[in-house]
Amino acid sequence: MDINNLNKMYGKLKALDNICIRDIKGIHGLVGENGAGKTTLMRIVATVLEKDSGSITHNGISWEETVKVRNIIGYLPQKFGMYHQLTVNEALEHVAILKRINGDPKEETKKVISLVNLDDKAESKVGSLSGGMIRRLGIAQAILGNPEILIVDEPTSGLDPEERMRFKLLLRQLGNRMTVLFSTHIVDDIEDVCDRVTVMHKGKVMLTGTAAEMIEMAQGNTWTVSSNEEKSGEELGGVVTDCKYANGMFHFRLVSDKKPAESAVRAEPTLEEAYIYLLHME
Amino acid sequence: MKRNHKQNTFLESIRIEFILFVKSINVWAFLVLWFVVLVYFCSLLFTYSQFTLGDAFISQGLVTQALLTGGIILGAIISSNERKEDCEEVFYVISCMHFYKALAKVVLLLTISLFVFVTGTLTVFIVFHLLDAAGAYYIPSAAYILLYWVVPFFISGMMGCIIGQAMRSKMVYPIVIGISVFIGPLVPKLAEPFMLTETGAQYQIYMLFNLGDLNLHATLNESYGYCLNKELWIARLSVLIGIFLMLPVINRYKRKDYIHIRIIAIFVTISLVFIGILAANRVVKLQNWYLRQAELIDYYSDNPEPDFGESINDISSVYEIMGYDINIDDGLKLNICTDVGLDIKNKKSPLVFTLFHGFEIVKCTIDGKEEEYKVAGDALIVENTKEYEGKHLLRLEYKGIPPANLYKASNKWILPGMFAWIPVEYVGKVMANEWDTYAMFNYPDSKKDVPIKVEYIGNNEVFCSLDEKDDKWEGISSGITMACGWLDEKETGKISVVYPSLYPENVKQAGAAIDGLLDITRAASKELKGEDKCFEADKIFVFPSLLHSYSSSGLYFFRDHIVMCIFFDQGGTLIESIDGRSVVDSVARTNEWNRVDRDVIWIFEYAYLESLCIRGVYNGEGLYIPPFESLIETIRDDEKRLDLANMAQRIHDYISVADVEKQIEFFRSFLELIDTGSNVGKITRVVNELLDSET
Repeated sequence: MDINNLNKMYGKLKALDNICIRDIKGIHGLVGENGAGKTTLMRIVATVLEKDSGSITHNGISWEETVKVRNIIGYLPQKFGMYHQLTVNEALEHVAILKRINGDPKEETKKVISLVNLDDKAESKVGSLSGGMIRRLGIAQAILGNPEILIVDEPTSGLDPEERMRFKLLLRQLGNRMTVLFSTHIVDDIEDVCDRVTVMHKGKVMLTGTAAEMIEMAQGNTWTVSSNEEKSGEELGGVVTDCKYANGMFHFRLVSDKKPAESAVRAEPTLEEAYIYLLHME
Repeated sequence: MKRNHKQNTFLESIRIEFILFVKSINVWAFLVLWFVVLVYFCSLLFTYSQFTLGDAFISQGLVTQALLTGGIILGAIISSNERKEDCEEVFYVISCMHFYKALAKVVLLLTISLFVFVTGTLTVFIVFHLLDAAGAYYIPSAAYILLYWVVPFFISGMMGCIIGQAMRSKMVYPIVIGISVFIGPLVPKLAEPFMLTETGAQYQIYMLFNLGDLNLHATLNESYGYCLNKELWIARLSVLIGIFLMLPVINRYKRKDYIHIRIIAIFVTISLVFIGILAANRVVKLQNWYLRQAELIDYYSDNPEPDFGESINDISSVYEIMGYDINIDDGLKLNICTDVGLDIKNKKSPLVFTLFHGFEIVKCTIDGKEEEYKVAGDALIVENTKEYEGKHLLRLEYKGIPPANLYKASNKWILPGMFAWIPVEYVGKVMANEWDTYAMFNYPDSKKDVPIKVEYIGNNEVFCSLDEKDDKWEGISSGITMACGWLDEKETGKISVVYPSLYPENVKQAGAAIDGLLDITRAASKELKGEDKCFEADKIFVFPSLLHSYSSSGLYFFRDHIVMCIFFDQGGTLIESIDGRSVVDSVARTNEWNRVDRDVIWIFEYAYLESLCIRGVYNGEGLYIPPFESLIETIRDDEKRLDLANMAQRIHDYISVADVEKQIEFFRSFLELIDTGSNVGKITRVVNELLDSET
C-alpha cells in the first residue's frame, strides 16, 4: 500500500500534513504521541473519513473506489465494542454474513474464534467479556473474510501485560498473512511486532523505516551523565530518558545532539530514545 | 430459492435488529406504555354510547401524543444502538452496511407500527362489539387508527432515528420529547394559558405540523364521519418521503461522495415538507369549523343586506327561471357551471339573483356572450347590458367552498336545496343569524318547480334528490339537494332515505311514518298560511347537526324531497327524532322571527302543536311533541317573565276549550304579530287582548 501526499484539515487545524508512506507491507507500525494524527490517518485508510487531498493505493486499487477498498480491508477501531446482548458466535456470524465472505459463515466464524483463542468464550455474551477478550473479538471480526489489509488502531492500550503479549503474538501471526497497519503510542509494541515503522509528530511523518534504522538515526546522540544532585533535562541540556540513583550518585540517560557535559559518555540508544530523539531533536 | 448476497445481508440486518430489540428492556417499556394507553382509551370508549364512539377518537389527543412521544424516543434509541455499543465504525467500513442497517431499522419501526395497528384495531373492535357499536364504525375507525395513530407513530419514530443519528449528546432525549409535543395535537391546549383569544390564524399555526387530530374541540359529524381526507394522507406521505430523503443528509461522516445526493435530498425534502404543510393547511382551515362558523356570524352581522331600491321589489316582473342545467365537479374546490334558462320580462332592469358570497364567479355569459355582473354580498347582479328580452340562457361558472358544516373535504360536502348554491331568484341573504347565536339558512320559501338537470364529474359517491338517468340526474323540483359523505341510501316503503351510515336501524320504518309527517305539515300550512300546498316526497335526506341550531330540528320541504336536519334520537326512529316545532318552522318561519323573543316563538309553536293534538289533527304518535305545560313552568321560574308565563297559561286554557275555527283564527293572528318582529311587551299585550275578545 502507498500513501502519497495525504492532507486532512479539521477546520483550521492541520491534522495530516502531506503524509507520504510508501510500500506498506508486513506489519507496519504508526507511532506518535497523542494528537500526532495516527487515528486520523487510520480512519482515512479505513474509509471512515474522507481525505482532503492526496492518494492511497494498493495493488492498483485507489481509495477513491470506496466499495472495492472496503472489500479488502479489516478494521479494528480504537474504541471497539459489539452488541452486548449477542454471544461471541452470534456477533461474528452476523459480521461474517454482512461482509459477504466466501465460504460458510459458521465455519469461518469458528476459524477466527480459534485463531484469536476465544473458543471457550464462543457462547458467552459479548457483555460478559473482559477488555482483552473484546479486543480479540475485535481482531476476529476484522480478519473475517481474510482481508488484504488489516487496520488496527491502538489495540494494546489499556490491556494488562499478559493480554498485551498475547495480542502482539496474534498480530505477528497475522502479519505473515496480510498487511497490518498498526498504530500505537507504546514504542515497545513497535519493537516487538513491526517490520517497519512510521513516526508521526504533529500531523507529519518524521521517519519511515525499520526499528534498526530508527535507532541508527539516534546513534551518537544518547548519553549517560552522573551527578551528585538531581537535575532537570534543561539543566543537563537534553531530554532525560532514564534516571537511576546508586552509590550516592544520580545516573542519567539523556538524548541530546550535543555532548551535555564533560563527564558525559556516549551510550547505545534504545528504540524509545531514538523515538524521543526524532521528536525533539530533528 | 437461493438468496443472493444482498438479500442475505438485508435479512441478516433485520434479524439482528429484531433480536436486539426483543432482548432490550425498551421493548417491555414500550409494551407497557402501549398497554396503558390502550386500556385508558378503551375505558374511555365505555363512557360513550354506541353511536357517539367516534367522539372518543376525535376528542382524545392523548393517544396520538403518547404514540408520538413513544415513537420518537424509540426511534432515537434504535438509531443509537451501534453508537452505544461502539461498533458504528466497524459496520460503517463494511460495504453498504450503513444503508442496510438504516433499512433494517426502518423495517423494525414498520413492524412495531404494524403491531400497534393490529393490536389497537383488534382491541377497539372487541370493545365496539361489547358496546354493540353501529356496524359503520368498524372500517372507518380502523382507517382513523391508521391515519391518526399508526402513521404519526411511524413518522415520529423515523424522526427519532434521524435525530438520534445526528445528535451524539444525551440531550437528544429531551429534544425529541419537545419535538413530539410540537408535532402533537395538544399544542393548542398547551398554548391556551398564553393566549388571550383563540383565532383561526393562531389555531392554524399550532396545527400546521400537527400529526394528530386537527380539532380536539369537535365531535364526530355524523354526516361526514372521521376526517380521513386525502390531503391528510398526502401531507403525511410527503413528510415521510421527506424524512427518507433526509437519511443520506444525516450522514455524520460527511463523505464527499454523497454531496450530490445530499443536495438533491435537501431540495426534494424541503419541497415535500412544503407540499405537506400546504396540504395539511387546507385541511386545518376546513377543520376549524367552530371558528369559521363564528366568522360567518360576524360576516352576516357586519354586512347588512344591500339595498337594491325598487329594482327587486317584484323579481317576477323582471325575469322568471325556466330551468337549470348544472355541471358540478368536486376537486380542491367545488367547480360549478350552471345554465339558467331565463324568461326576461324587463330588459331595462338588472337580473338580481341570490348566490352564496363564498363562491367566486369565474364567468358570466348570456347566450354565450360575456355579460357584466356585480356581487354584493349574497346578491349577484347580472347587468343585462345588451337588454335581452324573452327566453335566454344565462351561464354562470363559479367555484368555492360552501360555508361551515356544508363542507369538510373534497369527498365530504352537502349542498342542500335550502342553501343557494345555484343562482335563485333574489331572496336576500343566504344565511341569517338565529338570535345572534348561530348562522342558519335563510330558506327561500317561494320557489317554483322547474326542470333541473345535473351532471357530476368526480369520483365520489354522490346522492342527489333527482332521479338518475344515464349518469345524470333529472327532474322537476323547487330545489335540488346533493350530498357526498358518510352516507347510505335505503328504500323504505315508497320513500328512499339518504341517511348517515351510523343509523341504518333508525331509518328502517321511515317510509311508513312519513305520511303522518306530510299530513301534519299540510294541515299546518293550510291553517297558518292558508296555503293548499302539495307536500310530497320520494326521497328524504337526513343530515344530523347540519344547522347546529338551538331552536329545533329543521325540516325543508321541496316538491320531490325533504331535507331533515335533525338531532338523531339515537334509540328511536327517524320520525321520533323530529321535533314537532320544526314542522311549524318549516311552514311558517320568516326572517323576522330572529328579532322576536325566543320564549314567544316557543309559546307559539308549543301551543299550536298542542292545539293540533287536542283537535285530533295529529294523533301525537311519532313526532316528538314537546309538552306545553313544561314550557310554561320554565318561563314562570323567571320572575321577570311572569306576564309572559300568564299569557302562555291563558293560551293553554284557551286551546282546550275554544272551537276549531276560533283557534285557527287566533293562531293566524298570533303568527302575523310574530312576523312583524314585535317586542315581548307588544306581543303580550296584543295576545291578551285577542284572548279577552275571544272569551
